[in-house]
Amino acid sequence: MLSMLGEFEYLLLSATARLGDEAYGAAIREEIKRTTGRQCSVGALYTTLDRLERKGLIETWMGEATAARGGRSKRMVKVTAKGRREAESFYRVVNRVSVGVPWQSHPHKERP
Amino acid sequence: MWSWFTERVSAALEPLEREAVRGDLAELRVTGVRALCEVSGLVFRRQCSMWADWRPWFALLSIAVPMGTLLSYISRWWSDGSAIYLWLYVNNWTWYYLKSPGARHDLAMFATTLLLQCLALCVWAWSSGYALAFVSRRTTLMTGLFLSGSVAFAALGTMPARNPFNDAVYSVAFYGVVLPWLFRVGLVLFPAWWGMRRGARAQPLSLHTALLLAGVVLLLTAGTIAPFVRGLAGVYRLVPFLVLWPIVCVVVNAWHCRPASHRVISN
Repeated sequence: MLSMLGEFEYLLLSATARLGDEAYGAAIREEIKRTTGRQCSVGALYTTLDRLERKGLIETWMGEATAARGGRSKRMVKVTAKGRREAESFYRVVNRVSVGVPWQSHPHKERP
Repeated sequence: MWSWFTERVSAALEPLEREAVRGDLAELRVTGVRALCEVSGLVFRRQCSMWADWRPWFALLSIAVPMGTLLSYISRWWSDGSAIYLWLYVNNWTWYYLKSPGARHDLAMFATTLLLQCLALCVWAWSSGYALAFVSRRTTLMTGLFLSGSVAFAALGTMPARNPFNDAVYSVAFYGVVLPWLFRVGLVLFPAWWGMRRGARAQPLSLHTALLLAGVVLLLTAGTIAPFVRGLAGVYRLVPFLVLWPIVCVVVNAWHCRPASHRVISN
């Protein structure tokens, strides 16, 4: 069965899973930037978090406030069991469809 | 300055989301124009997603645009009509206006009419803003902008009550330009935004207050709209009565939200 995840949703789930207990808005945004080199807007991040939560793939709650945040609370994020299954399924599908494609064995090299 | 704009724009977000987003931006040291763009982007996405529902469309098409247009025309009509008398009494004042019983009567009639028209515009605009906010609270920012745009621009360039005999009045910038804007902003936009703020609160108007307000609106409408209706023909005569539509919404909302104890008694 094909996964119902989108590419950005998968990126978000992966970043959240990697951050574990430290997964919240700003940290996820930085993690995505670090791993993909792409900037992620607040709009894309929060609307996707909402979509994933509606699908039951993540849970969110308001966490602690810190001085670095101007005394404002964090929106903490955790991947649910269903979210983990969907991410695994997406990963397997991507692996399967990538077998034998040219960019698997000879990754494109960026020109300097 | 940018942080002030960011703060104002982020007010359109839900309180918890606003807290998290502003905290994230502070932690990542995103400030100035970039912070404003980030928050505006999220607000835009949120607003777009809310328009998948019927309520914002209902608020927009049945209240914001028609009421804004109608109030724009009525305020323009009345400001032009009042300008002639104001010019007469302010720019050409003579004590004769108070000494002569006939002139005194005219002055009293004008003052009363102007007062009633100002009050009528205020309550129509307030009830429109209130109805907009409770019909679709989360899109009030957008529907409010549409209402404001309709009020500001629908009757711009029209001259409903002007004719060449009154050129002396309208050639004065105050009567020709400033007064119509004073009517639009002071008697329509300001009360409408005030109504929106009240309508966005969780606690709706009580049924008694809503009925009292409806009574006031009915009386003011009956007392002020007749000359306006006489200037129209056929079915267009009914158009000005659309100003009653928002107050109908207000009463229906108050009826729906009345406390459970009242419902038992009324049953």
